[in-house]
Amino acid sequence: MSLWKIVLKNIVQRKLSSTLTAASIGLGVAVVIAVLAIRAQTQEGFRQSAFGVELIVGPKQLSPLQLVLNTVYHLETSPGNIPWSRYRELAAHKGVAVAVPISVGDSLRGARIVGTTEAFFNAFNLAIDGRSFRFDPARLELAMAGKESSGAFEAVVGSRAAAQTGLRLGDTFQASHGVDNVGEQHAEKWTVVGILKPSGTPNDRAIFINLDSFYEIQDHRQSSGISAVLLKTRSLASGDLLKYDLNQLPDCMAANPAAVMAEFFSKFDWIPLLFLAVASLVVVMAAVSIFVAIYNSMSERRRPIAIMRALGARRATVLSIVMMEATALCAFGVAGGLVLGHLLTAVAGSFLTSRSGIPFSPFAVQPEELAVLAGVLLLGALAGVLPALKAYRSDIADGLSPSS
Amino acid sequence: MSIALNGVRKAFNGTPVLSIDRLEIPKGAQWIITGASGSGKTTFLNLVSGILTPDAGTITVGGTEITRLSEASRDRFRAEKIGVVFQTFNLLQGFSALDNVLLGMLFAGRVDAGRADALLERVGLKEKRDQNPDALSVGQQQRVAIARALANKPEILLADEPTGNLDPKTGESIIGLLKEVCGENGTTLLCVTHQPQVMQSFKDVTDLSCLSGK
Repeated sequence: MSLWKIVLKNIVQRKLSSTLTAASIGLGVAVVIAVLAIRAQTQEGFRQSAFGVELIVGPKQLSPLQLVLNTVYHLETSPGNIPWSRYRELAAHKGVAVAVPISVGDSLRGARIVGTTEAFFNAFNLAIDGRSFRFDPARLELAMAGKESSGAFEAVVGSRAAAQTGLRLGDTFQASHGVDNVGEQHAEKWTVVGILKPSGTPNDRAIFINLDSFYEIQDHRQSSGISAVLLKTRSLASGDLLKYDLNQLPDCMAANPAAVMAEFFSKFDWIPLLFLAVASLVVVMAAVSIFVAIYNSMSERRRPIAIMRALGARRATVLSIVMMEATALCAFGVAGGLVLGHLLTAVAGSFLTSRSGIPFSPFAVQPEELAVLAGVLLLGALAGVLPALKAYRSDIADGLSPSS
Repeated sequence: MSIALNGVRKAFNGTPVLSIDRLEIPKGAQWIITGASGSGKTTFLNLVSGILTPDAGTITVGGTEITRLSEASRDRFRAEKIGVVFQTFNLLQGFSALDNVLLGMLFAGRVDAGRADALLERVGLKEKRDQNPDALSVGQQQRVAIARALANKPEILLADEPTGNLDPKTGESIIGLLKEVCGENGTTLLCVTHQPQVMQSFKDVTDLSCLSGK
């Protein structure tokens, strides 16, 4: 026999009320935990997957956000080009460590097709099962000039794109024009020579083809423009200077993806805050419901409390029992909310991963989570203060009288 | 443990309920406390157990003047030295017979499941240890209450109309049990009743109506 046993008996005796009260706490906690986890992991995911790309150079008619979403996250569309000559200038620039050209605009069953060079995989540390495609710069120049050429049509498929399209090593496919799955199918056939190992980045959702083959497509021939150039610079200072210089040019712009995404998230930071406010309100209301549930039961507890007092329980002991009950109800809710919150994160994370390629760890504990749990438990204990004081002040003789 | 009351006065809302100039109960005594309705029988037990404090006078239990103790000290004293049996049993619903006995030990800080089992065996309820009060007959419930009252080896056992809710035969066995267990341990027994058949089984009967001059 212990005070906790008395507390648990009290909770079990009021099953329905206890369950509903703990459930309301649990729901509030679950939403708070899911919002915290999704917010933190989304921001971290976008920040990390942009890592490595220090500057993106693209056409002036795009907004920096469009450019970043299109080139790094394979979202949005890219309605413009920059001249191939700009890539060659950038590749030769002394402040540039790596320059990777990309061209986009086609897709296969919802997976974006990105024309690029082998440098892409090396620059962003992407491991391949199989091998990389072969890029032939001479063939590219010929194709861009509209001259006859021949060479490989090869593809390296992102892990998620492979699962989505069913492509395996050795398979062939025909790309469709456009990214919305309704464009005409191109006549050319690519062979899958590699599958990317899962990288936890948006690249998992894309299909990469050798850039020279991209310009072999009938509709793309005689085009001398590419969608963008991804850059790694030799130093932060050289990157800033390069960005400034590029933004002065009439036909292109440069954007720092980390800065663009930070600015993007700062604009929408009120959304998770709103969720947190609503969830906090739910938790506070649940704490009030703990108070109401226990306070309303105080009249039926008069006799048990008086019996315990007659058996020698001190006022402080009955006060503790009531506060422990409020805390225990809250703890049950918190425990349930913790599990439910992470399950919610798993469901929402899986949806977001399928849409953005950002990886989610549904059971990763956020630092704020512990503070939230401690805060909610404290709130639960506080909800028990008034009923506990009522128990503390109760009169033994009155509680034992036959009318009680 | 002896009990001494001197000049004790108690009133509720200005109405005098109990007035005892001098009363001494020797250690190990088995007394009936009786009196007319409103003569303060339950108030008397509540004063002796420290649940209530007198408006005037002193109460000394086993050499300790409990009227000078703080409320917390009186609670501790009650938990350790005094056992109480009520007319309505006052067992906690939802707790088994064993749990109810253990509860009596909890507040004295002496939880001992072996002793609780032995007490239930002593009152003839070994087989019912896991039953909740609502599954027991009224006589069995009062036996559990007696086992609970004896949980901390009390030196005084106060019984407030312990047979009031029982039929005569069951009442007789309960009184017999109370006298027996108190006699075994030298526990002072004060039994409040107004039932003549209960009074007949005790040698010492004190009428509070006479003491208070009501």
